Amino acid sequence: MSKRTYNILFHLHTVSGIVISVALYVIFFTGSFSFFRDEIVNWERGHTVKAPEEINLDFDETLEQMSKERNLFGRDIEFKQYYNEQHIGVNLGASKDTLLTKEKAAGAFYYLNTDDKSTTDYATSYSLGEFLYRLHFFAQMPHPFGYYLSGFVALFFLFALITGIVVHWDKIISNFYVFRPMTKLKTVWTDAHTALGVIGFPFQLVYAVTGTFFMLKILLVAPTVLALYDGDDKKLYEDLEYAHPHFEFQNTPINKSININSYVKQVKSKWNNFNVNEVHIFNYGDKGMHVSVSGNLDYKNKINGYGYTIYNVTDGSIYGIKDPTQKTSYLDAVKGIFYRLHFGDYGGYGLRIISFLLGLIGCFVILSGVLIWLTARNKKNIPVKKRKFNEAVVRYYLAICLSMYPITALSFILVKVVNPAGMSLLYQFYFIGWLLISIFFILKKDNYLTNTYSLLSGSIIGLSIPIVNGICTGNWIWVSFEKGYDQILFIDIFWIVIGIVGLLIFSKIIKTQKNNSINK
Amino acid sequence: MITIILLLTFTGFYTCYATTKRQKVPINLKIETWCLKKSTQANAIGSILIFIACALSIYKFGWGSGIFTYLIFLMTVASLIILLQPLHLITYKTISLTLLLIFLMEFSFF
Repeated sequence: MSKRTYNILFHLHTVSGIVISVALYVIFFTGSFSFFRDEIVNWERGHTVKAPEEINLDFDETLEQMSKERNLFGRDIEFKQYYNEQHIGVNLGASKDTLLTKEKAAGAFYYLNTDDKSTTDYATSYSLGEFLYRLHFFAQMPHPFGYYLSGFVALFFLFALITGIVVHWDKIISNFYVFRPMTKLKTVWTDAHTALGVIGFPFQLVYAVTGTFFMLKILLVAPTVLALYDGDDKKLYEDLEYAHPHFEFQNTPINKSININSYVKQVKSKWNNFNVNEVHIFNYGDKGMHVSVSGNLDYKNKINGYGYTIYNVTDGSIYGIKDPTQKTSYLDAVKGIFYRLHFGDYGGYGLRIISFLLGLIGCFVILSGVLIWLTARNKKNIPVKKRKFNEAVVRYYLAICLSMYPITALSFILVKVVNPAGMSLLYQFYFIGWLLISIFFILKKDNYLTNTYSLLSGSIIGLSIPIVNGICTGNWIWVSFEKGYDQILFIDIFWIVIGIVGLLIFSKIIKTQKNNSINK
Repeated sequence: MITIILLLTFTGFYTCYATTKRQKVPINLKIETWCLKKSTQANAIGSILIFIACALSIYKFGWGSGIFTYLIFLMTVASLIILLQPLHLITYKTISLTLLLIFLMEFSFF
C-alpha cells in the first residue's frame, strides 16, 4: 500500500471514529444491557416466564372472555409474542360487520398478561428494559431522526471497522497477541485498541452490518418501491412476506364451534420442538374465517426455522403451509438470520452473557481509540490552544460515556422504589441524572477521577440493587432461587457480579496509582 | 457443558498465546516457559483444544447456533486473555473462582 493510500485510510478511520465515538459508545453500552432486555422487564415487574419463546395461553378461553367485552364477529385478531414476557400483544382489527356502529367496530391494540389476564397499553407497561433497549437505537429522539442517526452511526462504524482493519493489515499477525500495559501511555492505548479491535472484528462487523440494515433499510426500500413497484409499497411488503394474505369477508356466520387451541396443537405435533409465537385469525366467526399459526423451530434444531400453517376453518382444510424443516428460502434466511445474529438469542444465557462482555470490550475499544487520538496530539509542537481543546473534547467524551454506568445502576433502583415508574419519570430521571453526573465530571476536569468515581459509584449502587429489590418486593435472592423466579434471580446475580468486578478493578487502579506515586 | 467449552477454549487460546515472541509473557500459570520453548507443539495442542471446544459447542447448540456461539465465545476469551494476562490477573486462583461461578450459573440458568 502506498503511503498516500495509507494516510487517507488512516485519517478516514480517525475522523469517522472520533465523530461517532460517543454515540457509538451509547449504542454499545445500552446494546450490551439489551441482551437482557426481557430479564430486566420481568425483574422489574416481578414476573417469571416458565416457557420462553412461545405463547402460553388458552386461546379459546381468552377469545370467549374477549367476546363478552366486544363483538368479535368479522374481525382480524392477532396474538403475538414479541418478547419473552408474560405480556403478549393483542391486535384487534376493525370489524368488517357493517351493521355495527363505528365505535363498536373500532380496532384496538393492547398487551395481555397471560398469567392474570389483565390488559395494559404500551405507555403504562413501559419499563426500564424497554427504555434501555430503545436508547440502543435512539428511539427517544423524535421519529425518525433517532433511527436514522443510529443507522448512520452504524454505517460509519462499518466504515471505521473496514478502514481500521486495512490500516492495521500488515501487523495483524505480528501484533496479534501484543498488549504491553507497562509501557508509555500511547503504546498501552494503541495495543489495546488494535489487539482487541482485531479479535473482536467479526463480532463488531456483524453488528455494524445488521444494525445498518435494521435502521437504514427504508433507504433501500424507498427506491425499490418507486422503481419496481410504481409506488405500491403494499405489494413490496407482500412479496417480502411481511404482510398476511387477504381473505374475503363473506358476512355469513360460521355454523360450527371454533377451536383455536386444536389448530395450535396440530401444528406443534406436526413439527418437533416448534414454538408457536403468533396466532392470526382472519374474519373471526365468518364463513371466510382462516387461522394462521406461525413460529420457529427450537434454535438447536435449526437456527432459522420459521414456519406456519394456515387453516380454512369452514372446511378444516389447510390453505397454506411453510414447512420449517425444509430448506430455508433466501428471503427467510436474510430476514431471520440478521435478527438472530444481532439479538444473540440462539444460544441461551451463556451466549448472551458472553456477548454482553464482548459488547463492553467494544466500549473499551471505542474509548481507547479516543485516548489514542488525544495522546497522539499531546505533543510539544502542537499549539497550547489546540492541545487544550483536544483535552476538553476527551474530557467531555469520557464524562458523558462513563457516567452511563452509575445512572443506569441508579435507574434499576428507581424502578423498584417507584413501581411502575412509567415512561415520563424514567425519561426525566435517566436523562437529567445522566446530564448532572456528566456536568459534575466535566467541571472536575480530571479524567482519572471520572474513571474511578463512575466505577466506584456504579458498582456500589449495583451491589445495592438486589438488596433494594428484596426490601421492595420480598424477592430476595434465596426466595427467587427457591421459587424458581429465573429472570429475577438472574438480574440480581448479574448486578452482584458486575458490582464485585467493578470494585475489584477500582481497588486495582487505586493500588497501581499508590505504587506509582511511591516510585516517583 | 458450557463450563467445559470455556475451559477448553481458554486453555487452547492461552497455550497459543504463550508462544508469542513479540513480548515477554509473564509467568503466571507455570506453563508459559514450556509453550515458548516448544512453540510448534503448544500451537498444535492449543488449536486441537479449540477445535474440540467448537465441536462440543456444535453438539450442544446444533450446527448453525453452535458455530456462531462458539465464535463469540472464542473472541471473548481471547480478548480477555490478551487484556488481563499482562496485568497478572490470570492466575490459578482467579481462573478457579471464575470457573466455579460459571459452573454454578450453568446449573442455575443455562
